Amino acid sequence: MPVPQDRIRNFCIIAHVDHGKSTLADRLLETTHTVERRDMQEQLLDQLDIERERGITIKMAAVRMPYIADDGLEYELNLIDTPGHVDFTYEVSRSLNACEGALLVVAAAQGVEAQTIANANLAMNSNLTIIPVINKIDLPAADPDRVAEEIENVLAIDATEAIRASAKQGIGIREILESVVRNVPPPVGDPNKPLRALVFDSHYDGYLGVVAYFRVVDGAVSAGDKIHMIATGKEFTVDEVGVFTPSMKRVDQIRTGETGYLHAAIKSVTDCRVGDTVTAAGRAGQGVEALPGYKPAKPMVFCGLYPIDSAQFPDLREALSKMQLNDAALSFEAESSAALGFGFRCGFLGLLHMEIVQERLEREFNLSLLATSPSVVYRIFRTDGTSVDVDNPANWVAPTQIEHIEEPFVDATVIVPTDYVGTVMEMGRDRRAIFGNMEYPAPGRVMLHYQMPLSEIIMDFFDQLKSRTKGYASFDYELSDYKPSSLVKLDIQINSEPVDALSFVTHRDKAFQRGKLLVEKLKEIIPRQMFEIKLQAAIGGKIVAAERVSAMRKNVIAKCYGGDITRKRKLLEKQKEGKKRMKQFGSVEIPQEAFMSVLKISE
Amino acid sequence: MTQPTVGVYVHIPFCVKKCGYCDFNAYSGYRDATKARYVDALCREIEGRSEARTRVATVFFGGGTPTTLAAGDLARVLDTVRRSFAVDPEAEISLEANPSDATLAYLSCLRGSGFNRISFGVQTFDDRLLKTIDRVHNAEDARQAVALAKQAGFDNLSIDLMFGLPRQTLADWDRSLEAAFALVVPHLSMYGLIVEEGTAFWARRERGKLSLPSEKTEAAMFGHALERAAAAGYHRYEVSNYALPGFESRHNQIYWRNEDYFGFGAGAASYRGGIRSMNERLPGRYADTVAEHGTATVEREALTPEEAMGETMMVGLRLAEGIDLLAFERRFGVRAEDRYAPQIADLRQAGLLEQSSDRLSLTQRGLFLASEVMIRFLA
Repeated sequence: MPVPQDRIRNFCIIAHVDHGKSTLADRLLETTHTVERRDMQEQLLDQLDIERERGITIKMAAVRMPYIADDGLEYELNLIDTPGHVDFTYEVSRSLNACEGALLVVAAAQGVEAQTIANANLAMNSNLTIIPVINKIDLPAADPDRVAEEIENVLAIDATEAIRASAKQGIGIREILESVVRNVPPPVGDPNKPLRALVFDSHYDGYLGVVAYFRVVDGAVSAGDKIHMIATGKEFTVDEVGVFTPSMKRVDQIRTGETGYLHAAIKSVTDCRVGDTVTAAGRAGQGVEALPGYKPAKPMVFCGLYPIDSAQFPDLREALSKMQLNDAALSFEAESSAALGFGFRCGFLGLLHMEIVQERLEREFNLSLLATSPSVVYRIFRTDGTSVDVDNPANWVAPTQIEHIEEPFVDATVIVPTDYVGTVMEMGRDRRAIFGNMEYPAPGRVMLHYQMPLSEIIMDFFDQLKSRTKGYASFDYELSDYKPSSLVKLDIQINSEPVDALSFVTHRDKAFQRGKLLVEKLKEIIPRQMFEIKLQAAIGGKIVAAERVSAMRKNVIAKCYGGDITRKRKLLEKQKEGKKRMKQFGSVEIPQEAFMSVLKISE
Repeated sequence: MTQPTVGVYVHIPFCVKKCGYCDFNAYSGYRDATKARYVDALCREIEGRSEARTRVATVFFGGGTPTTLAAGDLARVLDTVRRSFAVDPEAEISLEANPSDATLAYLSCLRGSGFNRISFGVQTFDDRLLKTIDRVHNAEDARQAVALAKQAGFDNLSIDLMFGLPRQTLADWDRSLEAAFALVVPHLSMYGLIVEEGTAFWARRERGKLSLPSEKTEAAMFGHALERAAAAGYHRYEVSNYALPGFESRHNQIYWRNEDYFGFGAGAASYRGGIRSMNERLPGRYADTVAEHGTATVEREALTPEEAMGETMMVGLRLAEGIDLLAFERRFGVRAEDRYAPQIADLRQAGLLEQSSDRLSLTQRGLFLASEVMIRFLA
């Protein structure tokens, strides 16, 4: 007997990284007996290995939990998990749209962080009922009163009734569930209208095709239904509908207000995009209005991915195609580099997305890859009045033809303890950030708002910020607009030959310093070889910095007798393996990290 | 057709003190009872693997330090080899020796039992450096030992020297070279120090407590060794080995030609018919295993033709005469020049390899960068 629509609650958990979102989700599953404790794989909702290793949720899951509330009635609670990283803001906003409420989790020791604010703002913009939860109250450093005050000051959310919990210790879990039942409104769709459902996530399954996660707004959907995707215009026949318990469990129908999954032999996630609206195919669905807010995913950060072994080029193409089935935000197109041969220029939502894709390509498809330094998309206005978007410094326009250049800026928020304001201000200056304003959310903490170039953020900004503030700073940003900048392309030459894959774009005032630092860094990274190697940085043909890697003079294994032959062979084979990981440029072997070293030049 | 010959290696894993740079299977601190048990086990292993008809052209006692054993024990093991194999009457029978163990009586006894070649681990004639590298002898012991060995009837004598030692200068090295030439021994091994993983030196280097000469200085030391040994009449026949004509180590050339050998004792390797096998490394456990099973083989690896070819190239290029291309073709049924055509072309182009009608060898430049060359022939 399904529970009536007024006893359905759709909600999500929003939190800063490490504030305990996954642990809380685990406890909710246990307390509602959705998953028994002994079956609990730690942090069940994070499915991918990489996610678990990094402690970040990338892919969401939506779990149905039956719950008998204190009023004695059974409720259907749908917990929709959200990714916790700025790269996936659009995905977060879609899954928030599938909910009526959100648990805002703030750790009692750390307090409100930059991501908390970004996600809470998204939740408020989606008109969700927000239930503040102050987590980790069991820790010695916990200060729940201060945190409640912060939530009120910074987020303007009434925190007087914030639930004080410890997901780890199981404190406050029942209160949270009761609060969801009492405070989160039931879904308001009309069961008699034609189907209208929001796709808020999907994954690709080798057997089933795309499994779409959706929320029914009006009407219902069952296996056998013919459906129409409004944005992509594609039509499918539904093979199965079901819910996550958290494993996939087939059901007869997903009704108004419910969340679930469907699969329908959909071949690629590009046919069933996050944010798209599902309706009935044919007459029944005609005139159904799309749900608001659909945006095709737009890559912000680009880099070249090249197989170390050029024979793996077709494998890389296939792997990228397969990844794209599961990741509509990933873009790629073939490109070639004089230094690296054939590869792909790939577009990502952000740096984290880029690292994850790269890791998965190497791990799941057994590829050895070389990644070039990431680049943003520069907009170059030519003197002839035309303009061009450049996502690869190798395609830079000749300086004489450039009228002016614009680059993407972001609105950035940094929260730090007062002691580190100077440090952050200094970093901001170094990174061409335009200071906006400063707020004091709580005693001892400062929130700084900046506008800064995205290109400066992808240059190792977050790691630097973390290390220079001893890990106290939190940081978040969202894209604002393009602004004019005085930019130049810096070329790196190895033995007087330009290496296109090492070129990068930088502000004119910093070009000299960055060029110098980069050749110094390359000198450290490039091992000695059988001849001297000349390293130079140049702007428009003019050398601005130079270094030399002196030739290797001697590399001989002194002793090799009977008992040692196998060991010596293995030793040399290991050295050879190391060389294989390098890229041959002319006669020079360049280690992979050289191509990412642009990122690591600290000033 | 004459029956092919093999070499026999006997490992004595004991030392008075383990040197900081040594990564061989060697141990200090074993009691005499264990050593006695070890000698019994050695004899038993040799007997157990005996091949009375197999011709042995060379026997080599290495270590560790063979001279940590009594001369009688060494004689007993050698006799066991003779009884178990067809040892040629004119076989080369070598042992490694520590200069401080050398007395006339001891050396005469060894010579009398059939050892005809002796190699002293001198390393340097600088007493300060000898301490640094944990050697128990001093320079005077070394000179004395060589004199006594000659007196005892060893005319085939070798000494080991090392360069690139901690804080060693080029001038220090030159003095050691002169001191070595002054002794007029017919054979010299001169090794550049390699800091191997698992040694005390490795640990010291990791802690930043090992101050080694620069690569430039080390290369210059190697250069001096080459020039000065040549001037003194020695020819270099392998990366680190120099001899007066006719005094090349026959045993070690078996390794560099990648030919067959038996290895007896703890951790010893054997190579027979394309199969490499290895004994238990720990002396006590080796002795127990032999006592129980008669042998102590713990690893056996059948080399693929590909690996065997790679090894043949790797070790063969160590020889100054280089790789015997005809022998290679006879052995593997493929010409090295064909199998490795691109590598050879590249390396010749780079001036690292040279090829005559039937030999492929390192050039002088290739010698300094030998590992870079060898790597190209491995998987």
